[in-house]
Amino acid sequence: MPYLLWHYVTDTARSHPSRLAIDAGGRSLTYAELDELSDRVALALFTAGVGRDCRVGLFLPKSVDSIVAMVGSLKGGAAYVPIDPSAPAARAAYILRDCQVSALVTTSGKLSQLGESLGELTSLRLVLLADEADAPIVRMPVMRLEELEPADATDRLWPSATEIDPAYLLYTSGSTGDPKGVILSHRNAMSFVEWAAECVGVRPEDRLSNHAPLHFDLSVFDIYAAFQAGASLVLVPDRIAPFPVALTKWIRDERISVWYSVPSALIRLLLRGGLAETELYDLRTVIFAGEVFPVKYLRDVMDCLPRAEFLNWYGPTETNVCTYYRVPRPLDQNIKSIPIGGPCENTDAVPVDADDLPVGPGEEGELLVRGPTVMLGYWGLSKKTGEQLVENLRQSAYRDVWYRTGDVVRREETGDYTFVGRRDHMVKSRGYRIELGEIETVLYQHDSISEAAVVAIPDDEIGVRLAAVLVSSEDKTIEDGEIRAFCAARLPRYMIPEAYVFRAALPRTSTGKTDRTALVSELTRQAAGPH
Amino acid sequence: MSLTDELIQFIQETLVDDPGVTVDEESRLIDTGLVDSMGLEQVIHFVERRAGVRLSDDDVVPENFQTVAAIEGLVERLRGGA
Repeated sequence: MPYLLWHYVTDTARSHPSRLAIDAGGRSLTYAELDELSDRVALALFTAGVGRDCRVGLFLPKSVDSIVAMVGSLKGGAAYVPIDPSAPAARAAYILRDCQVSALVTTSGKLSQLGESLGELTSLRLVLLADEADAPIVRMPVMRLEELEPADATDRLWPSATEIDPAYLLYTSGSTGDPKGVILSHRNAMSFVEWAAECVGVRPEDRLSNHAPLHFDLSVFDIYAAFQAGASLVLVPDRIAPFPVALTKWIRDERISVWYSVPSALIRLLLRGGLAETELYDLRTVIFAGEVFPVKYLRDVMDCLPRAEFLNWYGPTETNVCTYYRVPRPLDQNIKSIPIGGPCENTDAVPVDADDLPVGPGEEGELLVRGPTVMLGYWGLSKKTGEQLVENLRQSAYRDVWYRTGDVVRREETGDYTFVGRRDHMVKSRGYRIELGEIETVLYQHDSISEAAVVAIPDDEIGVRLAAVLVSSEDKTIEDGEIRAFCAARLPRYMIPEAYVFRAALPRTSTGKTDRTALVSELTRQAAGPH
Repeated sequence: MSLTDELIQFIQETLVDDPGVTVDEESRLIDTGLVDSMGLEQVIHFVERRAGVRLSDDDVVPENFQTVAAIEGLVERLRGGA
């Protein structure tokens, strides 16, 4: 029985060695090759004394090598830590230091970028380079992935990790302050992967695209659901990803059958990628997560892909995925937002009131989650972990742990949940409770608005003032007055934004979500400036 | 300042995190990850505003954005064809 994530690779390598595991444009690996190359990484780590209770940092562009390094780290008994390759060196260095990595897989260029901060990484024992370029001189041993020795049968005595050992850490940006490392065990990841592979019905002939960055939890599905089913993982090349027309053609030419991304990636294909004119014959399943999909765009995307099944998955990184919704066809004409559905099998997800008691139909509450996919905790942050993973809510006679998502959902009469917003997007202005997501939902209903973010600018007088940052879908300018009137017709007076700012695009975080923190600080600065 | 210089300055200031990287006309923008999806949107907006051209979906393809020189070439063609 597979109980560690890398077992998926070795199992398929044994039963179907010549099946394609990874396809990345110029380079591809069969399962046998992936198994063999990741053995080399594991052996190099093992030889350097890197194994259980160690972390391996991955700071390199997404590539076949990144995936080999992931599997190799796991075989060696270590947990891997993918870092945003476009992150500034200071942030990367913070993460490497925070979780005390013992080994680092990177490129020569990034190693130079890290520069002096490497000196502070006292835990670092080995650097593995994925490229051929000249590397700076560092005090720890440096090896090239290309030159690693093969591991023979006697070498393959990998440390016996257990399924409750950490498999990887994903650093998420906290709303305030430093990034925090979410620790997921093999069991956490595999419970999710096995549920997900069954939900989608992943088959060996499937080709799963990997669009999300590797430090984003969406990637976990792409990679390991492919490996679990003996299917192929197809990495979206960096040179294609930014270009909507090229990306649509890539999906067609690469015969992608399962696509998983944030809604905004699909909206770009719809608005600027010629999705309506391109026949994506092989695409059978489209999964979206990470943000609310505005109904008007989802409807159009579904029309462009009449044969595909659409799934809305929901779950903070801390829970993998905890609820799901199979989007019905046709979409109800009157529907205003797409539900996040109900709990995944083998998972509890319950909206509760202020006393942590389940809410009734039609009511809203914070979603609490319990199940095998819920994280082990935050790296080195026991207090924060204790606040989010709460024990003994029901005075049970055994240790019973629930994760507080901080997300507010509504329990519909149908039993489905609808995402209402972040608890911390809930603001008070003039004493009224305001959920910013609700205002955004209204703005998205306007025909000329393609993107909208409402932010709360701190204000001494009334608590906060609301500002709407908007992207116009056409080339015309929209009068503030028109938008204000549009909101006034649909929202209570206290929820109507005071300021309207038009932008070419909304700032996004490295994981593709709207960067609200950046918007708030920018608009706060402007508000504080001369009037 | 020419469009080329302005574009180089814009990319250097808004998209380059690494102080060791200097952008010039022939720097590889896309393969190197210097310009990603978000960065590309900013570059397109900048070019449209500064050069007074409109880019169609079919102009936004990898060949036209590999280097600053390639972007310049695209702008020339759009101006010539307009």
